Amino acid sequence: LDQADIARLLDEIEQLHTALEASTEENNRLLDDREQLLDRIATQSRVLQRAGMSEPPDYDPYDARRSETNEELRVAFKELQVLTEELEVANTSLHEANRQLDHRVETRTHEIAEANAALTISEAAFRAITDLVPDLLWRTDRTGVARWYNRRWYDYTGQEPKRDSTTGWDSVVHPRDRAICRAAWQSAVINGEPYSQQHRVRGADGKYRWFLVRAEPFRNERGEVVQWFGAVTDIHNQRVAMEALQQGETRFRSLVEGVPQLVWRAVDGGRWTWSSPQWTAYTGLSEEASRQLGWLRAFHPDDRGAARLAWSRAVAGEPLDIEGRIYHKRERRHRHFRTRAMPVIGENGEVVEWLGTSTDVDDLLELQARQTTLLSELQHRVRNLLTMIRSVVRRSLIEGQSAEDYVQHLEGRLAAMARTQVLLTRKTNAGIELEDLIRDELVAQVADDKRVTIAGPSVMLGAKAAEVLALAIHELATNSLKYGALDRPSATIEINWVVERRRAERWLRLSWRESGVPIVEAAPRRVGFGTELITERVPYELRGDGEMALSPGGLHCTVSFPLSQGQSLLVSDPPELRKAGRRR
Amino acid sequence: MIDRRSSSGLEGRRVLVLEDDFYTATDLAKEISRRGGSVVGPFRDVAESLVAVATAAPDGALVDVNLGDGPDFALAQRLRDENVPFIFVTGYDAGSIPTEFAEVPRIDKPADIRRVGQLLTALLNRG
Repeated sequence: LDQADIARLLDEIEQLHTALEASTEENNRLLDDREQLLDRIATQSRVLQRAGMSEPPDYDPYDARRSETNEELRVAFKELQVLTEELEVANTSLHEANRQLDHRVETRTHEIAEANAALTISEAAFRAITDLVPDLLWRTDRTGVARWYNRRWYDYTGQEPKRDSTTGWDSVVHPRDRAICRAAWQSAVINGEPYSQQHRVRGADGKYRWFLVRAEPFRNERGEVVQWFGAVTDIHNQRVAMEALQQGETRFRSLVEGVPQLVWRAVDGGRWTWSSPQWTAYTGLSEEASRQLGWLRAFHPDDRGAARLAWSRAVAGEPLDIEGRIYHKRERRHRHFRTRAMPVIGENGEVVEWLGTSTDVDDLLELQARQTTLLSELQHRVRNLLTMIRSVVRRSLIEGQSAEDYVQHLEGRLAAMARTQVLLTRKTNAGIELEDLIRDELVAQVADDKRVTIAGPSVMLGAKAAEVLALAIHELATNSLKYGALDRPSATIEINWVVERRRAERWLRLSWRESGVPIVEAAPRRVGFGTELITERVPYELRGDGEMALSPGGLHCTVSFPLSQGQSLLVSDPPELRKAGRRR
Repeated sequence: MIDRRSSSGLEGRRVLVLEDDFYTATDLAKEISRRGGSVVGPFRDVAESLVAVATAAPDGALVDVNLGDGPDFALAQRLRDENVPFIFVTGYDAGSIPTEFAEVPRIDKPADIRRVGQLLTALLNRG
């Protein structure tokens, strides 16, 4: 029995009721008619009796009158007969009508009783079914007020059937979800549209679980909403799993986007399926454009072949390793990259996909190359120094000289060389300020420098020039000390220099001029090592000039050479990087 | 210095020297002279030495690779082209020498000048 059947039965009962009332009225009318007929019959009967008793039939003064009365009586009798017949007919039809009505009422009553029984059964079945399904179910009236819940609802929420049957289900909805639920439910009820929401419902244990709540309006034949049915499905585990998945996804993305490497995924043959945002930011190649073999376009043209070859040789279970330059959008050049990928192996041992990273090793390679060069230059420098020491040791030997003098000279020269090395290696790529170099040498030998004047512009010397010049100053100072220019009150030393242009080069011209030294003491001076250094080594190694002259008053020495750019060997760059002409 | 003319072997030979270190250059030149050879140079610059290859037609050479501006193999290449035997006298290790010069004799600095003289003599008198 469905709603339509019940409505039809109700309609029929209504009709029967109307018919019954009409029949009753007809009955009453017929009864009234019969009463009137009976009255008239009674009247006519009395008239007849009176006439029969007062006037004997054979007496005839009033024969005509009597015969008139007889005629009237006869007519009345006939009328009575007709009325009686009519009454009988009316009685019969009334009886019949009543009988039919009784029958119909009886039939309908039976039908209704059957329908009621069926309804009772289907309601019981309905409840049984609603308690079978895992969902929590409810029913509301057309205004959305709850009228019924299935047992599972009560079991889950711990609500009492009677007391809570009409209280709002939203009392067990999580406070945070309540406002949204109410608004959505009101909207659904007003518009008569299906309702669907995910929210948390409090269980009897006080804990909340996630549910999907769906409700559909139930309409009558005229399309009017008569009630609502709702189903509340437990989706807690799915929801929690989904949230965990989303968190995992978020963590994965954070990780992928946080690492300095460019991360990507590919299937066999190096066909990319996904790349991290860094890839796009770095190369300027969109994620979509990089898919399949699109990523190759970011590779240096000379490295694409090797990359494809590596992919064609990629074997399951063996990581992929490609060295290739990748275009850097911001720097507008290719940078060296190490690209690696690991196969993801499926259950049957097949390669599901490849997870890959591309790591910028440009700086690393640059540093490695630089380190190699520096090491090589350091080695070169150490060997040159040893060569130099060996040469100085041999050249410091003067025939007839005492071992003590020899050692003293040698120590002085080695100390001067050591001082230069200290200055040269103090800072990277730093030259040596000429004035510092001169003062260092003088301070090492002369306590009182009042008689020494030093004047000249700021000049930075390269490593080679510093080495040679420091030793030259050392020799000159040693010589001055030995022959009196530095301890005689009358004697002075004037050191000055200028930077001048010769041809296309800047030249340094340095002058060392002693004065106040007596000629006698100046004359026999011997300057073997120093003379060779100034007059031969300076021209040879510094491509300059060196002159020494003894004159009254003391020694006058001039050294001049072109100032080349700082060329400290320890900080020279690898040649290929110098060519690239790039520094961050 | 002890002069031992008896251990000569470079008589009539012109030996080019390319060496930026003055003392080494001087010592090498003395050793060549001591062995009876004549010195072409010594030169401090590759450019000058290349000119000398053409003008002086040396029989052999002692070649330094680093002249202050990084490795330079221009003279070595030129000598090879001219079939002039030569020896590297260098502060660099073998790895810094291009493989095309792998067969060229090499003496590491600091060099034993006498050994250089012996090796040079042997090289030029080989045949």
